[in-house]
Amino acid sequence: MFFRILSFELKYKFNRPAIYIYWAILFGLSFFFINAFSGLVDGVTVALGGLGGKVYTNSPYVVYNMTAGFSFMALILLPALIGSSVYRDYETNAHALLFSYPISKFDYLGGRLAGGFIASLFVFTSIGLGIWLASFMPYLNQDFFGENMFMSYFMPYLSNVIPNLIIAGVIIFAIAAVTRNLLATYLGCIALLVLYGVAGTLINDIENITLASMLDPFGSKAFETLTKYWTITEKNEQIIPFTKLIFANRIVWMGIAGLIFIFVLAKFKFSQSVFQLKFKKNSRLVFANINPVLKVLKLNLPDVKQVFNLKSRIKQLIRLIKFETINLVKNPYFLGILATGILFVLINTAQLGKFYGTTTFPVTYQVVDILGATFTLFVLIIITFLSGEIVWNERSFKVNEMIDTMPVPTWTIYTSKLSALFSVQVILMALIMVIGIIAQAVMGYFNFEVDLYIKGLFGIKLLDFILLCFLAFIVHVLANNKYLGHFIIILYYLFSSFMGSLGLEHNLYDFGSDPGIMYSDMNGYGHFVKPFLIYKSYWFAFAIILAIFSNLLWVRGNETTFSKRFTLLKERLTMSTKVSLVIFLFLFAGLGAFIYYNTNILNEYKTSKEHLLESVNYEKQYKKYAGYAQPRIVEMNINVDIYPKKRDATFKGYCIIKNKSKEPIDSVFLNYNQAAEFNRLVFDIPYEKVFDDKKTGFAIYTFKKPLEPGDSTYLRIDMDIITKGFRNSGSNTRLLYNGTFLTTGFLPSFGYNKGYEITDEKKRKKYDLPEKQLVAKINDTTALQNTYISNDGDWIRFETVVSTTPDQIAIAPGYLEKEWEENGRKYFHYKMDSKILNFAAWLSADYEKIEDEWNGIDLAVYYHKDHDYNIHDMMKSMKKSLEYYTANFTPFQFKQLRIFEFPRFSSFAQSFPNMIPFSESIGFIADVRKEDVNYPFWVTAHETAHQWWAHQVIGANVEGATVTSEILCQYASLKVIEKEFGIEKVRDFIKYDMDNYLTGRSNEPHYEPPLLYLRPGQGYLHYNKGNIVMYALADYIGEDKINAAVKAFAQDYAFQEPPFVTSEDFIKYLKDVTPDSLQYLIHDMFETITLYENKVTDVSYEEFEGKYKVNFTVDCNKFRSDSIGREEEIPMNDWIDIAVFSEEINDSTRHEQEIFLQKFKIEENTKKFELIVDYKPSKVGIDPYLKLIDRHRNDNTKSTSTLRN
Amino acid sequence: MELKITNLSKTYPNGVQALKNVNLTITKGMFGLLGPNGAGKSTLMRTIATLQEADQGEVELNGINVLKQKADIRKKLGYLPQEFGVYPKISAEAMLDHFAELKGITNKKERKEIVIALLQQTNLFHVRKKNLSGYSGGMKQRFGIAQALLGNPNLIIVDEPTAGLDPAERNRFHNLLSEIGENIIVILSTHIVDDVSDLCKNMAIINEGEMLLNGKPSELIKEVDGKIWEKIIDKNDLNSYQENFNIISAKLYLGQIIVHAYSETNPDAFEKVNPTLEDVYFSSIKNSKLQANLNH
Repeated sequence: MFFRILSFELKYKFNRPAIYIYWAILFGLSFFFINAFSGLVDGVTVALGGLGGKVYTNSPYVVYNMTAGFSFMALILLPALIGSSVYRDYETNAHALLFSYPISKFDYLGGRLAGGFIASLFVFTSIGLGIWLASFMPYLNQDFFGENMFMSYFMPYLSNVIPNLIIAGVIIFAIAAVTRNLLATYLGCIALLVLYGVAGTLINDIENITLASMLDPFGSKAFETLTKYWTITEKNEQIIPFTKLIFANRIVWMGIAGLIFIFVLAKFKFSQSVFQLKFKKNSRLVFANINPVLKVLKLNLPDVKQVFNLKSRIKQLIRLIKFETINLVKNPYFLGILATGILFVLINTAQLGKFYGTTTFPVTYQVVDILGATFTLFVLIIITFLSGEIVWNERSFKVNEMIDTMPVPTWTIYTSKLSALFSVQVILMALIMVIGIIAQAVMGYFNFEVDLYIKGLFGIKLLDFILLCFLAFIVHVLANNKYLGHFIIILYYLFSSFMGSLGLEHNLYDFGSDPGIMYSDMNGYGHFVKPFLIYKSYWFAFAIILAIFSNLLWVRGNETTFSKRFTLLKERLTMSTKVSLVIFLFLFAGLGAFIYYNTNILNEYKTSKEHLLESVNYEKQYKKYAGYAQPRIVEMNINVDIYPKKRDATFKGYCIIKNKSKEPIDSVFLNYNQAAEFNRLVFDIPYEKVFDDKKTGFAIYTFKKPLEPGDSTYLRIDMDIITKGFRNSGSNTRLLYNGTFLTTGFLPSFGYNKGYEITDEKKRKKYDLPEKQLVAKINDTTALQNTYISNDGDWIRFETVVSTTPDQIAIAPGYLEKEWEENGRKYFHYKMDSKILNFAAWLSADYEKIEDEWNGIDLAVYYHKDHDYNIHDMMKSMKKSLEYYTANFTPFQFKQLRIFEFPRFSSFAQSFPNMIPFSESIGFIADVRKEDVNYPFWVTAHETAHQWWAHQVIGANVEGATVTSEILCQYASLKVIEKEFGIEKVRDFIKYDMDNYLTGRSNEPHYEPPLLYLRPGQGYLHYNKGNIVMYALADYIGEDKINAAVKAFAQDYAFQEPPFVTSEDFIKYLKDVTPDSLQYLIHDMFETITLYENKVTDVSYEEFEGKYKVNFTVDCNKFRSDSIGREEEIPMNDWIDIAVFSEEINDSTRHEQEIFLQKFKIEENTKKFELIVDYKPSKVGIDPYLKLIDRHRNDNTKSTSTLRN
Repeated sequence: MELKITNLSKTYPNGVQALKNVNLTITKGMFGLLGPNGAGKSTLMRTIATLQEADQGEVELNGINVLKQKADIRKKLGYLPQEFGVYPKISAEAMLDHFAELKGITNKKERKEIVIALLQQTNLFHVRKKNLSGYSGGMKQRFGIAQALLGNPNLIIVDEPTAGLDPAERNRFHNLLSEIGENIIVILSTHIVDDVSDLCKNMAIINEGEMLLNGKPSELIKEVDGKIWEKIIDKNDLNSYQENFNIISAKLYLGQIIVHAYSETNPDAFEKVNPTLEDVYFSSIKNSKLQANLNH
């Protein structure tokens, strides 16, 4: 019987088109994605599912990721594929008949489930097939693909898709059997996906990776755990293995699914209404009222007036809006989705603003951002679902014929329904606001900026959602089929999120879009507001036009065919409708034209592809000038006038340029900002402009008489940066109403700029560009002439007058000479008395400040008035840093050091000569009250260190350039942290650094060099690996020796002239202070990529003469990796920390403390230890403080309690 | 006041011709539209109720073009659809109040009065706070007529209102319908002859989209007077009777069959009977079929 039911089910499923449609959709999607991300569209870089860089699109890792990802999303099909197998009988009422037949529960349920499962598996095969077939498409860039391996496609099915189909399928099947309601099954499915997301967030917080991996029902955490630190080679070559963890996870969850099935089997009854969830008793009114004797009644109705004037129309509209809104809000499924959404949001709230494990204060804009973003998915689901419900409401309840004959205009009905959908959005926004305020209060933050909530939620988010309501509603009216409507809307969501990837980038045709709007406490919504509103008006005009049309096509009555509705449309088209259509068409076209004028005429509109081609052309045309010697700036005297209200700035003044090379210079190649207007750009010696490419901003000037070596001249600049109208996207966030931050980057620069070149190898190949050398070799004599900061100059004299509006303060490097007001503007004259790097900034904002002083050095923090949370920590950090650095390195070169806050449009802090601009988002609002890592303090220490490491000693523009800046800054700040907060805090940092380094190298798009030869921009190397390495060396070699080396190095190289210093120069100093026995460390850490797998196995202990004898074994393996992560094991001969911990020292807290720590030389892969310790040991560790790079840190320590003999 | 239907035709997209050139004039009072299931009654009702379009023809109420001036008609219309549901979780009183507002009774006091009056007079007052979804079929129909009576309709259309009601409930419903004023047009569509004979002063018979008869029931009965013959026959003989005589109806009676035949003269040992409206109904349908067969 089982097989008969199964085969019947299969025949039923496979005879219907649905399953083939699903198959085709999934196939199309996966095929399309692989196409889109494998060079189908240029100018678009997408990193999804691990794609990107040197990882092949058809590598086992990417195929697994994509297959798992698509199949996960496709689980939403399971209600239709598996749920329907049991639901269908109820829907068609076949169960009344069917259940009277003699079949067993197992045969019935099992057969149906198996049938549904097989059908689903068939549908899901399309994913792998789509990915596989895409890899053969001849038009794609074949560099994206490696060799196709069968196992790459098979393993994801074996360990992911099939088990997940079983797990989710059984759950969906169970819900369908219990509720007998298709919609409940869908909601169950959504809940399953959402809860998975929630669990994912929670799991991330669980320290125990094994537990986290086991808790995830879909097995992706186990996969993630396995592949998190995989290198390019592993991703490309390694078939995803069935690790113990993955296997255990799959078995456990399939077991749970089995239990659920058994439960359903036990509870299921072949009756017509088995265990239906009843919340209320049926309240059918039955009256035995048989009274056949006629009672004559007199129909006598009071007189009423029917009024059909405007006033009563409005009353009717309001009544209907209320009525419809209440209907929507009371919809149980809406409430279900909403509850899930709120749960999801609440859990995400706990993650507000984490940074290095430290939370920021839940300032309102962040709460609005994060809650708004996490809730958006649910709002989309709600809009899709409710728009269908409300359009179909009357027809679902069969009251349509009554309502449709009421003397109410169609527009009243239409408007009321649409408005009800809007009202729900308003309610949702209010709900987010309440949740946000509660969340803030719970986190102990009481500065509720209600106006910001209103602006951010009701002024921005709400508009987007309302536009979507229009669209969803209209789709449902036009489609006139609920499920088709839902499907079209989902397709639209998908399409709009990938429009950009298809090269459709202009907001003029992306429904509801805008150029972006971002709030900053300093700048408010600033200049974003106007274009935002214009764009929204444009889209609202469009939406209203659509609404008018769909109102005309609204189904009123029983005529539902499109042709009939179209005939009715003409009938319904009244004069007033025509007039409003014309008005909105006019508005739409007018605003569109205005937008186009702003984005494409006042400003230049370029697609990503055009940008790409520009880079290609720049390189192709001008690379030939790369080798030419260029003059260098030796003095900069530029006055900058900042006009915050207009967002304009002018740069006026001169640079003295000098020929520092050994040959005469006859031509200067100038890169200039093509959006700027140059009133003047002249040299003081006779010259001629022989070439000017205005499109790219590249000009060639030839001197009548060459500039001889050692000679100098003036370059006079008068440049206006004028903000004109608005752009399609990406407005200039350096010129703001409050918080302007301009740098020397705005000025013209000399010579061919390698920075414009595209780095993506596949794109380079496609456009016939030679393989790019990402950084100059360490012995490249030309590159050694430049610092890595600037090719235009090194040490310069600097002077500037910067002006702004009287309500703001303007800042630049140097000391304030004079400050005055003139013509309603404020002027500040800054002058530097010593030479500085050619790296300057001009800021203007409305600041508060605190001032202090350390050993005659003036210190100040300039901040936005509400951001005073951490300014004293920053001040203290400056003092402590100056103290440590002047004591251990060289003297501080300035008489003043200042920190300036700037708006959060960039989130970094950067050290300029005697000034540190510091983003409002990364320290000013950090909540350090109870956290481990005080990062405002740390970032300040790091940036202060840059006054030495970059502003005194600066690396040449070759490999390893940032070794002597970023790595030394990491080291310096680490020491300041250690002195202030203790070594434990440093170890907390190191944990993050280890993780960031290992994930960083896993995501490396090009290649990983040894630390000594890193490229600029490889943050995971110079920040994270640099930190670990310097922390380890200081421990192995000793802080004093390292400081001595660093000091000598600084003394030798500070303020040097070209050629500049390299990492190899620096490493010599380190080697000098390192004992012979530890020289291998420098080689392992700086000159090669070395990794360890250290772990403790077999721990036991016994009491021994009042003390404890602890026995344990350690396993150590050492690997050397090449630049794409191919590893080779090398022999051990290393000193490694061995430590024992006890909980006994501190009886009250039972806090684990180290009782033994010593370095041992490990010469074998396995080594046994026997130690005598004073306290009862609780844990034993090898390298427990992570001084060596190790991918599995959890096994570095082992508790004694787990394996007591 | 009259409703005039001229040359009305309608064919559905699936090819079914639901109305064939229908001409009908309906005056004040209760008008019965009688026809078997699928005759086109509901199509005609819905067309008059502005829910459906006609392919050709005109419908006019006192100079208002029903097919074009839908908004004007709706102001004068009360409509009880053949089949209707209710919103979930709403009481009769609240629903009626809602409908009243939509009917343009925007004065709150007036609205309240009429809602109460209607609930009382349709005998629903005691259950006015209960959810409509719990109502029995008869109560639902009474609620339906109550909403149709809201406002001052000049034209009330009730589409198959008694189908599925038990005799007592139907009785009550007839009682209610008979009370609706004489000064307005009430069109009652039904397939139950008694509905018409109980209530209607004028009637028409429609079958397969065609208007077969039209007039006062008493006059129509008079027209067939003397032409209806009855005989009690054995079950087994039915077939031969149907072949040989113009049998318009046959019904079981105590295990045997009573057949009625339409004929100018006594067909064969039949007994003449006083015709009822039922005989009119069956004979007109039978004769129209004969006519159709002859034409082919």
